[in-house]
Order: sequence, then structure tokens, then C-alpha cells
Amino acid sequence: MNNSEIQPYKIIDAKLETNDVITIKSQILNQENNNSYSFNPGQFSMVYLFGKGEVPISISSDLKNNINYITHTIKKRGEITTASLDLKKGDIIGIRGPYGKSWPLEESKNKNIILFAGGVGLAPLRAVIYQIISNRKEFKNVWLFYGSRTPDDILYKEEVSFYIKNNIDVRISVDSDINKNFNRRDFNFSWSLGSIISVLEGMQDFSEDTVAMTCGPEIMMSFVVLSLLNKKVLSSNIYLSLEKNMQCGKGTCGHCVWGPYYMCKDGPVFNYEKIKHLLKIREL
Amino acid sequence: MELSSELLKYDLFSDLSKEQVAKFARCSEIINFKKDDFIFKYHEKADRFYFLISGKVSLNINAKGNESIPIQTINEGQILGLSWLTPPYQWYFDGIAITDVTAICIDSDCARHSMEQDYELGYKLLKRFMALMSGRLQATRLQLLDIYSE
Repeated sequence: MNNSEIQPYKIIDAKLETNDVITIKSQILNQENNNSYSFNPGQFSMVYLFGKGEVPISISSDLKNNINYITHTIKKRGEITTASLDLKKGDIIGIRGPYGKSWPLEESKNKNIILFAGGVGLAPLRAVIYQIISNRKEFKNVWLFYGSRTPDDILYKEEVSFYIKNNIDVRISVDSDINKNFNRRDFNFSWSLGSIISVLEGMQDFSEDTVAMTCGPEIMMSFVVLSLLNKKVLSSNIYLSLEKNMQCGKGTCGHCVWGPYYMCKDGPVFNYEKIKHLLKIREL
Repeated sequence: MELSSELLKYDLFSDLSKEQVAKFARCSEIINFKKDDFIFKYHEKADRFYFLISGKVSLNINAKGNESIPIQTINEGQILGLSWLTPPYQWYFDGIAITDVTAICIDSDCARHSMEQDYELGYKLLKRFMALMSGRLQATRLQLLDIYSE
């Protein structure tokens, strides 16, 4: 399949994760093409809502299901993503891709892995989690640090126990859980109160063979990087997923130019060592 | 349980001499709390602090008609209680066990006395408590900053 062409996909499942985040599973309409959506964790698709427009969305699928369907988790931000919250089973959308650089999973084999996500930033790391679980013996210790505003905002709630069962050390924190609307018994996992960065700060130093992958709001990642360095994770082993103004997805329109890089083509996953000088430039 | 060796597991006491740690061990005891126990209460005298061996403690603040609002969780391996360091030596929060908790409890009068008697020890520990307090302040700022917003 030419990844520049929009392909029509039928939504086979749509689930509201929170009041402003939806996860959709989509299946290619033209089965004759028989093209599984081949991607690597960390890449993104351009998702097209007819009559609305196109947005870049991280792929949150389990790679081993890519023959059957592709999963995207979308957070309400602008007009298109707001419309996506109304998507339902049977609706048709357009998808092209995948695009961008992926997480360094191959290079992370036989190493410890820290996955650090904030808010909807868990979506692009979900594909990594699935890959790790499918090949668990190929990785050493794996930690998932995940922070959100409230328990209601936690993504993939029903999957957390599955992660834990598969020997992933899951640490979750929320800023506040005083909202009485949720029932704690609906959650089969616990969380801490406070910033998730504090949870990382409370850990022992990590060994040199530790790779960290982080995704979330930039302000969070800037503090995460400081904490990771403080915990002796090598800067060359830290990877960030960034998203800035991506529009065409393939490095032609120039909207996402960031210093010498195209965010869509050279990213969204970047090695911290390569971009740390850019992160210090406020104007970028 | 030999408390000196237990205390040495915590960063706060790492690289202190055996004699220095023993001073604290002498005014320490292992203590257990059941889930939902109040470990300390707002406005009571802050006369002790804890190293959490296991369990979780919620720091709550009283607001709006005695409603108890959780603001932070202290986890295993962390230090609970810093209000004993500075006057008026009163708790600013409620400390409530949200799981069963086992902790090393250190008498704060005894700790302050040891630090007054041995300035080198006192200075070392104050620097470490200062780092701890700075970390808590930073954590609180991050919590207020809403770092998960886009």
C-alpha cells in the first residue's frame, strides 16, 4: 500500500476512554488490497474525518492485531478531534500512513525500560507495552510511570491489571482524586496522589543499561528528563515523542519544521541527546 | 529488627557513622498502623517522624466544613513528617494510612537533641532534609502546574 494515499476504513469499535478521549478500532474497507497496516510502535497515522479534515494521531494498536484492525486514541483538542468523539461503529474514516520514526525497541532488547507517560501520552506507548508483553523475556525490568489529572482521566483502565500480570511495574499517580463521582471499586489498581515525577524521584538510581521512553505534554517531559538524568539514566538513552504542528505527515508542507528537523519525518520520536539544544530555545 | 541497619538503608542516613546512626536508632521503634488509622492529626504536636518500611500514607488537609481533602501520597521508602523540624512543631496535615503500614518511628525531640549535640551530624542532616523539603515543594508546584494539560 502506498502510505500517501488515504484509504477508507470502517470503524469496528469506538470506546470513550474518558469524557474527552476516544479509542477507535478501524478495519480497511477494501479487503482485496489485503494490506495489513504495517507500523512500528511510536509511528502515527493521518486520520481523516470526512467533511472535517485530517489530524495526526498516534497508533495505539497491538502490532500483532494489525492484520485485523488499527487502533487510534484521540483526545479532543480542535474541531476535528472534537468531531471524532461522535464516531461510532460502522462509520467510515480515511487513514493514511504510517509516518514518522518509532521507539527504539530493537535497541532496547536485554535492557531495562522506563516508559513514562502523562495524560493521553500513554497512547503511543501502548503499542510499546504490547510489544514488550509479547516478547517479555527479551527485556529486563520494565516500569510504566503514568500520571493523569484524576482517576477518571486514566486511559486503558481495564488493561492496567494485564500489564501488571505481565511483569510490568506500573506506577500511577493522579493530581487529585477528590471527585466523588467515581467509585474506587471500579478500579482494580491503586494510585498515588501527587505528581508522577515525584514517584520517579522516589526510585533508586537506574543502571546504565536503562532506556527511557516518554510521551506527554512538553512541560511534563522537560521535568521528566531532568529527573531521569538525576536518576543516572544516560541522556543518549532517553527518547521523547514530540508533536508540533504536523499537517502533511510526510515532510513536504513544512508546518512542523523544528530547527533542522521535520517533526513528522524526523520525529515524532527523538533521542534526547540529539535535540537537547533545541529544547532550550524558547522561541522554537 | 536491628534498627541501625534498617536506618542505614535510607539515603538520609547513608554515609553517617555507626555511632551517629545509633543515636537515632536509640530513639526509634518499629510501629504498625492499620488501614484508615490516623498516624497524626492537623494541629497536634509534631513530635515524631517516620520512615515507611511498607504501605502508603495519604496527607490530607481539612477544608470546607471539616472535609478531608487528600493532597499527596507518601510511599514505601519515603519519609513521612517534616513539621517537627521547625517551630511551632505542629502538623499541618492529617497523615492517614491508606493501606496497612509498617514504619520506623523516630522521636523528634531526641532527633533534634542529637543534631544540636553534634553540629556536624546536624548540618549533614539538615542539608538532606532541606533537599527533601525542596523536592516536596517542587512536587507541589508540579501538581499545581497541571502538567498533564496540553
